[in-house]
Amino acid sequence: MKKVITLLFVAVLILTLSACKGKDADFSDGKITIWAWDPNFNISIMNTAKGIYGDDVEIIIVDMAKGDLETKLHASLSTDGDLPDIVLIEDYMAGKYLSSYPGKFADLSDSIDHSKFIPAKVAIGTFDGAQYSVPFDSGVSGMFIRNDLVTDADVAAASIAGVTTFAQFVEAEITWDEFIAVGQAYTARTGDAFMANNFADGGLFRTILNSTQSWYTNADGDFEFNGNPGVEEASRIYKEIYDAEVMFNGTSTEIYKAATDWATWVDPLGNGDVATVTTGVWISGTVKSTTANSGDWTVMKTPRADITGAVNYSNLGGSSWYVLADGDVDESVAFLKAIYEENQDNFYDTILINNGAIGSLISAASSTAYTANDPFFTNTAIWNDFALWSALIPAIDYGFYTYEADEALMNAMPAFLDGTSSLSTFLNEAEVAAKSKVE
Amino acid sequence: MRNLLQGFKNIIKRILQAIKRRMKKIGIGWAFIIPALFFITLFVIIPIFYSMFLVTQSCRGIVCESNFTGNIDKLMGDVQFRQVFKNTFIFFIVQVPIMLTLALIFAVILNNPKLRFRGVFRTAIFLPAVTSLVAYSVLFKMMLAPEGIMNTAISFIGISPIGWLTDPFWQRVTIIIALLWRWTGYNMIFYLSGLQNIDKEMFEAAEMDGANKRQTFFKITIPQLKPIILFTAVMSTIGTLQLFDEPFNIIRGSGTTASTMTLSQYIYNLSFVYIPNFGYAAVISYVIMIIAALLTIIQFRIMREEK
Repeated sequence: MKKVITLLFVAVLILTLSACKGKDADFSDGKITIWAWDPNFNISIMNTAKGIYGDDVEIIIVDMAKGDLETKLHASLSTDGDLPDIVLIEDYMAGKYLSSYPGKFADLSDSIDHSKFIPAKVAIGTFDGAQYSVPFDSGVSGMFIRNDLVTDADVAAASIAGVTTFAQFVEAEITWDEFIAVGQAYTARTGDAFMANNFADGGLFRTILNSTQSWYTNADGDFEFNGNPGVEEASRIYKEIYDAEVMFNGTSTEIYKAATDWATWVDPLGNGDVATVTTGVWISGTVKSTTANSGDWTVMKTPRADITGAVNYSNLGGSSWYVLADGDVDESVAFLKAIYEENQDNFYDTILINNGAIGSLISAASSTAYTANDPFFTNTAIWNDFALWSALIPAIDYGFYTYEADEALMNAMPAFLDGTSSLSTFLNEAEVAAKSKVE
Repeated sequence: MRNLLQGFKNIIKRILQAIKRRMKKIGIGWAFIIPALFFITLFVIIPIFYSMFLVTQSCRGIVCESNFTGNIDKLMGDVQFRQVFKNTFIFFIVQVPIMLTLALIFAVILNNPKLRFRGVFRTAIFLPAVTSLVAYSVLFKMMLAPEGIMNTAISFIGISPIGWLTDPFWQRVTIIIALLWRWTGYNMIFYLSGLQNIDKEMFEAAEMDGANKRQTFFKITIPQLKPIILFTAVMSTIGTLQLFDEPFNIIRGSGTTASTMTLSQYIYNLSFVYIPNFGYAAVISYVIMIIAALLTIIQFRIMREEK
């Protein structure tokens, strides 16, 4: 009896100890594990890369929701948990990860030639003088508009100087107020929304903010909302959109469709419930996924904020690949270098055509795929436009805390939108909340 | 003399044998509990001590520095902490009394032997408690979406759509409704079993004395159920303080989180969503522990005084 118990006890101990066994330091198993999000974009692009690179190495691509990936990455990095070899990190988050987990990401300064990539993009993945990223896609923004739904009359109703027809409109550099005026005419005529927006999400806010050449922070890197012209203007535009109601069939109708998550924001793009979307170029893959709409979409420049210094070029999102120092660094770097730096088999042309991805490799933009006309977008060279616009995006140092600022602003915003707090009260409140998050 | 010595030896021998037997018994006992003890030490006791150490740390990812007073200062000036504290208490103060009252009413109704289909009703009311938290949260999210079934239904009776998931006030209502749906049946089961343990003779005696239903309920049912009411109140209090799943799954991603973020969700955000600060997250955890202990002590006191 005693022996049995002792045996059992030893067995349990051995099991536990083997379960507690740390990860092997030497992790060269001929496999590369990659974490990324968005099956229509990043995942699809990595699958293309995998196809080009061949079968020498087994590449495992794991698709996760973006928020889940970020949470899992934080948890694994701070507890030595399960980590991939390569991970996709959004540009807004890069500084946060690099500064919070020193030594966890592989220094790629010597293994990747960063001079071949757009400098602003390289700067985002640079920390303490070392380059950690393999720069990936640009988040250059544009306004996608349905040419079969919006009419000359809608455009004319907005009385924009020198613009009376739809054809003139899509070539024009408009302001957000002009955008709203066209939207009001459109909604008053059709009863449909002109755009979809999730007012709890800061995406559109950041798009507007980036185009004003400012960010959530001042020159010292501290949060500054109140008295920050860019933040004030972006807030004003949010409220203008929120308040822009028109009468349709006797009922007051909003020009926007309230989205509550990614799906409710994206679905109207396919079924004609909204006529425009203003966001990063990465949405083009989703727009094109409804093939029935081919020829119905046109792309124009991003609307501009109505303050000095604001331009019709902006950025939303965009991300880069990072290699984990504890993973299989050599194999991962060899793979990323072949595809993303050396453009094996014209990789960038393929992902441009298939996914609408504007890469950050400078030489790739001069390929013929960029100047080709896309039949989906009324046979215009939209990729060439996006590539040109991406060079004109105001360069911004996003700092470490974009999402902390975002959350504080969006949490305080409902009271501003429904009119219970003034602009300065709202911004003060958000600023205090944001600062308390990072102190 | 020799006999004496022999007797002495025998006594010692017996004592030794007794000790040996005893040791054998103890040994077997230990063998049984050591595996459990090992895991409890590894997963409970060590983490508790580690959390005490963490409280003194201020972290940024894996970069930590010793800063206990800094953590306390931060707690004092933390506006977000005040907000999540307020949210948690709104849920606690509004939801727990409604839920326990409803559970008691359901239990009394379903305890009536004359009621038909009792089993069906009991099962129906208890069933939410066995559904997965995430699954039901996702369903609630779908039903309460801006163009979901709920808003469609109320539009038929002429009410304009409600921002269940987006409006800060209605977000709280949504969470409270979800909690009521999920947990009322669970508490009802405790009351039902309590009701079945009350001696029927007491009710019969009350009836003989001419007591009406209301009097019976307040003078017999409630006092008899007191220990169970205390138990459910304590469990619900602790449950609400640990509230996480519903706000996380229903509200997050749909609307702003300011009015529904709970203490537990704040700890989660501090650890995994914002720049991870395990030190400060541990401080907030201790705050929850202290609040839960205080509330439980208060509830015990109230119950004892009424006795």
